[in-house]
Amino acid sequence: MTAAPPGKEKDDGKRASRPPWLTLVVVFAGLFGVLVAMGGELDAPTVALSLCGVALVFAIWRLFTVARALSVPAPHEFMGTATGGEKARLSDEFGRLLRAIKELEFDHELGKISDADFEGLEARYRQRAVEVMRALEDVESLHPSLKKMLEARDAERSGYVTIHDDEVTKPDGGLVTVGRVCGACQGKNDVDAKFCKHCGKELAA
Amino acid sequence: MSVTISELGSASILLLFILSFATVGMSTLGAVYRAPRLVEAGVQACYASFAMAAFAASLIIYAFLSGDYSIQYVQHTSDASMPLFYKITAFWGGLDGSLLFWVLLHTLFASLAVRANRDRHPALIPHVVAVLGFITAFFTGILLFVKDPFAPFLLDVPGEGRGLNPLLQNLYMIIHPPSLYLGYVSLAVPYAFGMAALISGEVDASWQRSVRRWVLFSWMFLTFGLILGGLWAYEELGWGGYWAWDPVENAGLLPWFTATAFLHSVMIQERRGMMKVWNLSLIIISFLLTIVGTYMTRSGVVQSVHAFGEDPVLAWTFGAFMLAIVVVSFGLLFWRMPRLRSENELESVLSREFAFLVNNWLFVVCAVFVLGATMYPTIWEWVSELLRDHFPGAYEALHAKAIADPDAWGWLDPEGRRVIGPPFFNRYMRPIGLALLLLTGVGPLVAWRKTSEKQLVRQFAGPLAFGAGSTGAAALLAGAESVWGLACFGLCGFTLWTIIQEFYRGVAARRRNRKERVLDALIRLTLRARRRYGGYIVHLGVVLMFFGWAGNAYKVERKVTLKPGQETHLGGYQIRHDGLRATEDWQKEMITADIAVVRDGEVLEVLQPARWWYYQLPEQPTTEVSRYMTPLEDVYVSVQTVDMTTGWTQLSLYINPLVNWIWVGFIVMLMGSLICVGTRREEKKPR
Repeated sequence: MTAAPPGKEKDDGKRASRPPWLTLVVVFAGLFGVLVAMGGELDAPTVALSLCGVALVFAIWRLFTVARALSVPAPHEFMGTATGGEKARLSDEFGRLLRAIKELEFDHELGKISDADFEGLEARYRQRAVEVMRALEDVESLHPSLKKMLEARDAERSGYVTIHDDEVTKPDGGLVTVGRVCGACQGKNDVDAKFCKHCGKELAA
Repeated sequence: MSVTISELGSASILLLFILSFATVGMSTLGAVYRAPRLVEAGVQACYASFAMAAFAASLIIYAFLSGDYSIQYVQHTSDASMPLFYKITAFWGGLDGSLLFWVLLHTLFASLAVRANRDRHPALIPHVVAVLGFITAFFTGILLFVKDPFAPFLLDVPGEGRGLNPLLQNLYMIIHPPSLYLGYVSLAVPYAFGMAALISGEVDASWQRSVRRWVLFSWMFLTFGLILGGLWAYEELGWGGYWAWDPVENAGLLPWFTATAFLHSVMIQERRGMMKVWNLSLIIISFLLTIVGTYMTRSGVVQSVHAFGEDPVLAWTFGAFMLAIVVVSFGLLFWRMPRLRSENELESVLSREFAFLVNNWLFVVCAVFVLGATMYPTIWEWVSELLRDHFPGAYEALHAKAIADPDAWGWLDPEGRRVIGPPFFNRYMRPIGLALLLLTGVGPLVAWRKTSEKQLVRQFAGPLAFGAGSTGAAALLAGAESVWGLACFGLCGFTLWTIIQEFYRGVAARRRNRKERVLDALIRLTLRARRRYGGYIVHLGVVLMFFGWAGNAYKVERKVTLKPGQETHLGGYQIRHDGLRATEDWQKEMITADIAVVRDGEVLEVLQPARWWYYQLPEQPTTEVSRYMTPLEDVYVSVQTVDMTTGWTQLSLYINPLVNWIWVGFIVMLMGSLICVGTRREEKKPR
């Protein structure tokens, strides 16, 4: 049995708990009522003392969550999948290249850069983007078991079962092709690809 | 057995201290042994630290509201007659409470940052929590061992409080310190993420994208706090200015310089993969400067109207903490240097990268210069004492030189300390400020990587022509006697036209592709590229502020002594003394002068400058300024001394041209930065 980590109750959807602020409001109202009933005046110090009580309840509750976190096993997902130095660096560079191309196109449209410079720079960026995409694939292919595990997990989440790299079965048993085919070179690309990893051309939206 | 608020408060701080060490311990062990349970407990302990700090803060507020004068801090900074609002804000009105307020904000920001990023950067989170926990432990340790806000009177408990300093019973001073604290404290979050990136080795730019908004947030609050401080000085101190390079003002300015530099240079890393070491260094330095600022304000190493007083124990504690930050942070940076290699090279000086690089150098020069000049009196004292004790000959020679050439060695203040005054700061900061204004105009005109000469001419022609026109217009309207003033007007014109040109071309490009009305295109353009166009709006605010500062070159200043019925001239105005009134309320005695501002025989306004003597601090009368405000200038009057028997009133009179544009510029800057803050869109993860 795996217990949800403290503070994550909302995510699993099983426990429809009250929002914490509502609990604190109820505690405040209760404390204020008790203080007034005990002869306290309806003034600022009474309100402040009730707030102290709310803060104390809040602090005790948070201390309890620390103890609870230590007492139950946390899911392994929490540590996350460390992105891995090389893959993270390549993903980072790829994102930067896409932004650079976008920015370059905008600067060209605004007339900040000549046609010749634009074409030269854009070609260099696109070439590098293709190289990075291929390098990313290489990095991923170094870990086939991990790749398979992740694909299986993704398919499980979506209700689809992976048959080949670009074919999956739907929950109803039908076969569907995923991925995008480049109009220029007919190369196969990932389903979320924006540029062709074979020729660098932008894929149609 | 009853428990007092003092005991409960001290116990909560002790528990917070233990909890912060537990946070550090659990997170560190969790990261080392890759133990999710410990990491999760560390995260929960981080949240619990905020809850505990909130409990301690609520206790001190209760003590203020209920008048619990058994607590020293409450007795020193409040009294029963103070309005409710000032009783609450007295929480951060003194040194001990301000440190508790610091801890409250720090733990709040730590919790928010960890909650927002725990799923996005799971590998960094344990290290982030550990660093933030360590900072909490340091400040809580100070509260516990050096400056306990809950410390009780052990013998005679006073029956009434001393009250808050009257100068602090002012709306600006209520908002100004928390705003600066928000800016200071929130810079710990980017620092913690930077350290976590170094420790974990995940030094790609993704952590920076998460902290960029935090830095922008800190920058906004620092700006807000600095401007409010200036406005307070302008309206309350009565010397006709808004910035005197006071050490505590400078303390807020130092991290502002480096945070501004970071906000520009981080774009180079995002676009080109360059300046990774520099960006991490800026994050470290910005955080370090917040601690330096706290050290300067609270240790008594510098003299200031704002400082809390001298405290050698606090000075040494902060000194040790700063040393630890420098050694550990830069040690980690050197360790990770091989992973921080630049992925590209600077290709041309006619590129935005180079403009940003120069902008960064100038901001860092500003920070180093202001820090050096602010700390100069303290360094001078240390060196003098060292020389006097160990090298008397060298000390005599240095002392003789300092007396012979006071300009080169600073001036002596009334207490005999060597200080550097505003003229020294202005002499060097004026050209640097104008260079930064020039770069504000140049940066957007050049493209990333390189700009061809032909494009350069096309880009610069409009701004240069408008800048030259602005200089000419200013010379005609205001006179050509101030070169700095004219240069400032010219650069304001240049930068303004750059911004207009950027918006115009962006809207035109958008309208070429889509059928949109101009206003629609403008709004959509701004919202689609918020960071770029929000940044231009911030630049517009900067231009307006420089426009206001340029007016300072044409300031008119007079000190006069008038009797009721007498009048004098000030620029194009006649200033007439219409009489004096003595009044009092529950808090103070007031003498108010009625001063008519007359132009061409018409009374424009009757100003009411005053002097107030608080019963609580009669030896420190306050000056209440009165202004006749127009978009072009302020007529500013303050009462210096007054003789109620004869009616002789010594007045300080000023005409401050364009001064109100500084405040307008600030509002525009704030709007621009709010647009920038909303940059990030939720990333859609493929499922």
